[in-house]
Amino acid sequence: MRNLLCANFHRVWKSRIFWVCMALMLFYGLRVVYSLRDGAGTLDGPTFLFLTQVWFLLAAWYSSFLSGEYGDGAIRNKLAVGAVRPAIYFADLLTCITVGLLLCAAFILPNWTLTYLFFGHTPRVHYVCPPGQIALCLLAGVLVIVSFSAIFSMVGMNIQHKAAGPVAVIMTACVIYLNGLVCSTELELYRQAPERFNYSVFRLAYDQFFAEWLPGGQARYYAMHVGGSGMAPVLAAYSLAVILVSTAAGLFLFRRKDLK
Amino acid sequence: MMSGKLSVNLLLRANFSRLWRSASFWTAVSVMFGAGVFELAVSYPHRDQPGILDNRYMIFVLMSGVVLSAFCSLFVGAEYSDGTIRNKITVGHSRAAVYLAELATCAAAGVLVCLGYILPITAAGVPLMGGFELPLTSVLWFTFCAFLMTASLCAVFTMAALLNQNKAVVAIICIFLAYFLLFLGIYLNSRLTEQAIIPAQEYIENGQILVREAMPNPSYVQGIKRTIYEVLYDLPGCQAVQLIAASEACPIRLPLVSLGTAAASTAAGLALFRRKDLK
Repeated sequence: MRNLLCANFHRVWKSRIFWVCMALMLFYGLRVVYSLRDGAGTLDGPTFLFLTQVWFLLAAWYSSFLSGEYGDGAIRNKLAVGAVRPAIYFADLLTCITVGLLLCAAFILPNWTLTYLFFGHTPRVHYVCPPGQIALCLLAGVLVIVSFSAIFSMVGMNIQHKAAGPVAVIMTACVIYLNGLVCSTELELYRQAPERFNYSVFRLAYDQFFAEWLPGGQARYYAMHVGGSGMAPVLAAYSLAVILVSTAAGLFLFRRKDLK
Repeated sequence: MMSGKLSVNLLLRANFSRLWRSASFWTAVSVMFGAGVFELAVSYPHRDQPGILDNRYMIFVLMSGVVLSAFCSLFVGAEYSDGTIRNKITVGHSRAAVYLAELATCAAAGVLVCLGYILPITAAGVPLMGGFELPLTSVLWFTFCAFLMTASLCAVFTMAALLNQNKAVVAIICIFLAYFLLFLGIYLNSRLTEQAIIPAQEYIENGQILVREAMPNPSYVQGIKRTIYEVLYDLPGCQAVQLIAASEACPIRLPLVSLGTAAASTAAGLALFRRKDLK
């Protein structure tokens, strides 16, 4: 396992796409700080905006990583030298999670530091949440990243085609996030005035699944509702369930896969 | 070297033969067909709302770019990975003929993929939901503009796929580009439709009726920035949002910009493909 992780991270540091993604997250973080200069309001929302962008960059990086795993025959080589399939699967999953967290760190470290330095003490823009609640949301944000990584691994590790795997991962990411956006907006409107929206049980279940269970809707929720994130423990529990189910399903399929 | 017309004919026949067997093509058609059926199912309970079928019909223009970015990168990428392009050049086809045949195949596939959505929504939607509110000429003109935009996006994706031999990287670039253009279009739409003046407003504070004077909107984009935004808003991809917003009378400028983009990307792609080292 340790050797597999070393090999994976060796590839990560050498990956140009990884460094481009890091640079984009850093730039986005600085851009958010710059955009606060003539605004007014709370600082809690903008500090969690990274969750609305990181999924796409993580999917793009993971796609390029996967194309190397299958296209260059890396997985077959790992099996040939004696690594077992679960170890390969978990090593790839852990690499994906770590890269996701590094991308978040590229946003958080400069953004939070500069935001606090420039705007932390001004009455115009200010923090509402106590530090404890921010820390809780940050932990929930970590679960969003893990949840995205688990789903990407389940999809990507089980498609051997060099290009179809990456395409499937990016499309999955987009479907999860964009559906999450639409469904969470619909669900909020429904909860405000249920009698106005004559939704069927199926539609409510669909909206709830994408808005609350899957990481796309959760990412939007944390970015929009940090100030009143009373649902964080429930969403975290949903995330854990999604992580467990997708990892178990991905591992089950990967163990039975015919690696040509 | 064979004659240009014969060469392109042979290449097109080979490409279409591959297209009918392509899993990525049928997946793209199925996705659009499924989306059409889904939209129909979702909008059927609201069939009494005016213009519901018009709104649902036009949604394909938002999805086609993303679906085709994946299809073009996989379909053209397979030409490189299977060594087909090298074989075509070895048997005497010119690079220009190979490029143009790929472009024509992808553009035709683009239109067919869009038809995958249009078919269920018109075949079942018109009888079930009572037809379009818009005049037929407007629907046909919108469809024509949408097809041209799709073809111009295919030209850009084909250029990217033929200039880079790494299928996975091409897929990432094309999908990223498709989403970027779509979201840019949504952003530009929201910025360009800002009102120049915020109208006067009455409001109640502490039991008193107060009036806020009309004032200039600070978010209104003007000057050179507005010109740049308007040029970008016409680009294929961004244009999808504009096509839906102006569905009743899409300006003639939009299909012309699509044709211009397709011509420019094809010229640039051809020039670079001729000099490319095909390993």
